[in-house]
Amino acid sequence: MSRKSGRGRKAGLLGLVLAGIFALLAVAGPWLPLPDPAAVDLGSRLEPPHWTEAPILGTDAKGRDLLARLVAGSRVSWTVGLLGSLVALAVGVPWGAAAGLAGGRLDRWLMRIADGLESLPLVVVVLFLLSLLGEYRAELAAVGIGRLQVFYLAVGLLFWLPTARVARAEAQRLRAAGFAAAAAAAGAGPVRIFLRHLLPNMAPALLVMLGVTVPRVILMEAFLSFLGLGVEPPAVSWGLLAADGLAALNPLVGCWWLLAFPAAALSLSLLGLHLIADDLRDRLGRG
Amino acid sequence: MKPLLRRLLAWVVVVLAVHACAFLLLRTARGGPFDAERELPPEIERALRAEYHLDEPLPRQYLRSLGGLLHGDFGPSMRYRGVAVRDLLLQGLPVSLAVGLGALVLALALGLPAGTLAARRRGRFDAAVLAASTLALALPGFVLAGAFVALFSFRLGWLPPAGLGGPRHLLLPALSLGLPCAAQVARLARSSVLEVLASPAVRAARAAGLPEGRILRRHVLRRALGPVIAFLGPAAAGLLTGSLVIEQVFALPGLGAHFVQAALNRDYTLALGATVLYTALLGLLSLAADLARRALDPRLEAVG
Repeated sequence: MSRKSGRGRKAGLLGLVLAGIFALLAVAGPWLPLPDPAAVDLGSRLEPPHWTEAPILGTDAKGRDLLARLVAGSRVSWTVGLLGSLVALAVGVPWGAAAGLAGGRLDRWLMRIADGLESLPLVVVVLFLLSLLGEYRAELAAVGIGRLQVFYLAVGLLFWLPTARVARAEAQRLRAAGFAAAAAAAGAGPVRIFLRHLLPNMAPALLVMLGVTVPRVILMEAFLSFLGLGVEPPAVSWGLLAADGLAALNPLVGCWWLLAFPAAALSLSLLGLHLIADDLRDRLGRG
Repeated sequence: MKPLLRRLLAWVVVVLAVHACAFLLLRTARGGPFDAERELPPEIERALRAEYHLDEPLPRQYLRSLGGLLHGDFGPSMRYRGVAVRDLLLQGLPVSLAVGLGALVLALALGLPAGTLAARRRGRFDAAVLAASTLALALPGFVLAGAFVALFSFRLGWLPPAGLGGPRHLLLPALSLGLPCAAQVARLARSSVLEVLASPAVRAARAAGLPEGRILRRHVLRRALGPVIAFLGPAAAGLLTGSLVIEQVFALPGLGAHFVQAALNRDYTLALGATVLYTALLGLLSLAADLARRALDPRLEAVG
């Protein structure tokens, strides 16, 4: 479809603005004049939002500043989103490209493995793995792999399958295009052909795929942290904050801000990223 | 029906493979639920290990576990002493199925008409459906759930905020689980109805003077349902994972809640049982979705 209505453009722009605001907050976090997100102040617990002065968005049950925690959380959520997506691409693209380029038996086997993995409830499997990895925390920490790094890998591994499919379809398309064969005839090796001739041509489709994957990973991080299996205190992420907010939700004391602001930050970022991904797909016409 | 047989076989292989991998990981994982507590006297620990057959050689343990699997028996839970994993799972399954089924029905009941109407009318209604579905897809399940609880339970007092006890308790969980799914169904239905509406068959039916409503029911919807039904397999997977969170939020004693607790408690036998059960369920659901699609579109049968 080659539609490019004014509404589509506006939606993409809105997405860019929304996602941009939260990305900027995440990047600029440490330089913003905010209190320490972990500083407990039992004197000012559960302050409602003051909007114009010190606890702008209020405080939580331990008197920690919600705005500071939101900004700190955005750093974790966005880092996980970006790195997790890159892991997904790093696994999925070579896999799919190898299947698409080689064809024949290798293709069949690689895709059969992918199909098999697809038929698993991968989230359940990852939860299972994360709970097992808890046993090896000390060893992993010794080689510099903390909880968060394990997490990027696990989340990335959840999302590489769609990427591999897209990369395979692209590789098949490009293989048929002929210039790869021309480069091979000129004596270029497979690695060189892949890096110099195929990868640049795949870039648009992969960009669309990245756009689709980042919000999924951010959502997955929130989901796992919400269940208590993701980012752990004292680190904060939006999922953890939302879990706190939900726990504080009860009919007697309405601490609505504890749930509303993390939920809004998460939803608006995801909405922005979705809009960007849709727009990218429309513009580049693939993925 | 050769493809069906092949898929059934693949399903068995996947379930067995998951069971084997999970079993191996469990047994090689150091530690377990027993060392989380205070130091146990050696004889008690030995008795415990014997009770869970941890003192046998590994192949023997695997065979025992495999034999249990064939009987639908996963042994005793490691955390809830004296309770069989099977009983825990059987207890949770109906709750999860009720919520999941409710969510699926809601998703179809909301998504299909919305998508079809959006494709038929275009214009403002179309834009509204698209915007609403984008929003619903961006909202994580627990955010929706929190908003619903705050609104319908605390503010309006219409529905119970948590717990189990009748259909009223299931409405909010099913709604928060089903809404993102409904958004996806609406989008799929919309695009495939649009596609069919533009096809020559529909033009021919119009030229033959068939009433528009009949064209929609007899010719368009039947063909447009294919992609929606194909989506039901992945949708079921999404509902399964979504239910992990939703059950937590609404304090429902379902499968998901058991599984999350098992992961947090290092209750390995329960986690193993739940993982295998999830895998088996998901495989069956996608198989059923595939069959339904074949029944609806005979052309797929030929392709195999």
